Amino acid sequence: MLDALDAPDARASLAAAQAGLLAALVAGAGVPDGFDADRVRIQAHALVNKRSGSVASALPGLARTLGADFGRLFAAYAAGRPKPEGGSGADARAFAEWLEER
Amino acid sequence: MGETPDRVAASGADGVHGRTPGPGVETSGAGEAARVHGDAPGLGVGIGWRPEIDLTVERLPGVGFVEVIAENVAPARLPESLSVLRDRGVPVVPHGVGLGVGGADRPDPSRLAHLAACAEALGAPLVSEHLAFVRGGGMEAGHLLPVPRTREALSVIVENVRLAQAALPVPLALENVAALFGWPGDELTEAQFLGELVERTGVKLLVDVANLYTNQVNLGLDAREALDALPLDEVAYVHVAGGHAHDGVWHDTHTSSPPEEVLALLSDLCARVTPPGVLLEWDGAYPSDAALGAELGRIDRAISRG
Repeated sequence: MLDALDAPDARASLAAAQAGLLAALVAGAGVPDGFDADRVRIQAHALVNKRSGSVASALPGLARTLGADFGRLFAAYAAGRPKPEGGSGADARAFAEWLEER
Repeated sequence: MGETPDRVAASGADGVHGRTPGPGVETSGAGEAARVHGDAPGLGVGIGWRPEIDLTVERLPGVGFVEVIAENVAPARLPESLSVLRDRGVPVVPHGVGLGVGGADRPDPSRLAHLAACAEALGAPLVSEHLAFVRGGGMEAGHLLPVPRTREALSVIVENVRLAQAALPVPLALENVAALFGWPGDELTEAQFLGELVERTGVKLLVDVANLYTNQVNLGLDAREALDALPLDEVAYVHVAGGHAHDGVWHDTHTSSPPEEVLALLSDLCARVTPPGVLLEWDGAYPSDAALGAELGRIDRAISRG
């Protein structure tokens, strides 16, 4: 750690570190050096599950129609695709569009 | 999601409808903890208010305070159930999940304005959020992620916390988070990091004992060492929740009965300090009213054991 060099730009350094990890977690990028890759994958799955649950709540009809396939299809949609701006509502709309285009 | 056999078994075993400890409940050494149940300035035992269980929360006996997810309410159009609780004098704490005060960007003024408006509309005694980041590089995580705990990151987050405090009309409390992974190169434990934030900003603590348990299981971080290192005099209140083990990893899902290990941590915390409040978080796969009441009873007894 070169504090004298890092200190002036602590925000930029933190931004780069967090963006690098987020890219691995939600955008399919490689796991940054030094992280336990298995644990990052577990976290990535947990984030997709959380998104999936929110979208299922937003689209109860679709969730009923897809039944047990919902989680698998959502995971396929979400792979490498971060949650869009606009929250779970926007995520739900994008998932519905993705399903139609398949 | 959905199946929670442990929850049903544990709740049923309690067989208590209300949450007031009944005769025969172990009370020795409860003098300190008993103050939790006083009217003021304590919050008492509470539960996370959710739209799905609004009537349940209204009906449960002895709920001292509630929390509402700040991002899910509009201050100008508060759910009627929250107004009912407010009219009864039940404190309502806005609990934010989307601020990301541990992020690299300065906290979003519009998100802070929303938290402030929630606090005003609810007459809240404080606002709570998390020591976490939730977005970066144009990407949303969709959940709370642990921050890198370096001195350099601390300097950024200290400034973020001060900006948040300046925008809020009431004190801010920050919660420790549940982690599935750790950052390489951490220089401080989460307890030390939170301690530094308390010292440098005066921020209050929301200690989530279920998250301490999660980190003990997943990352081998000793939960009692964390309790020893946290400035517990600054605790605003405590969170308790259940989760699920999957392939040796504990997921803090808030959808099941808090395990005994989590309640034992609550007792340990209460042996060190009398927290103003203790709140049960439950976020889906909701059990019966009686089962939720029984869970509050378990929390009461865990406090008394402290």
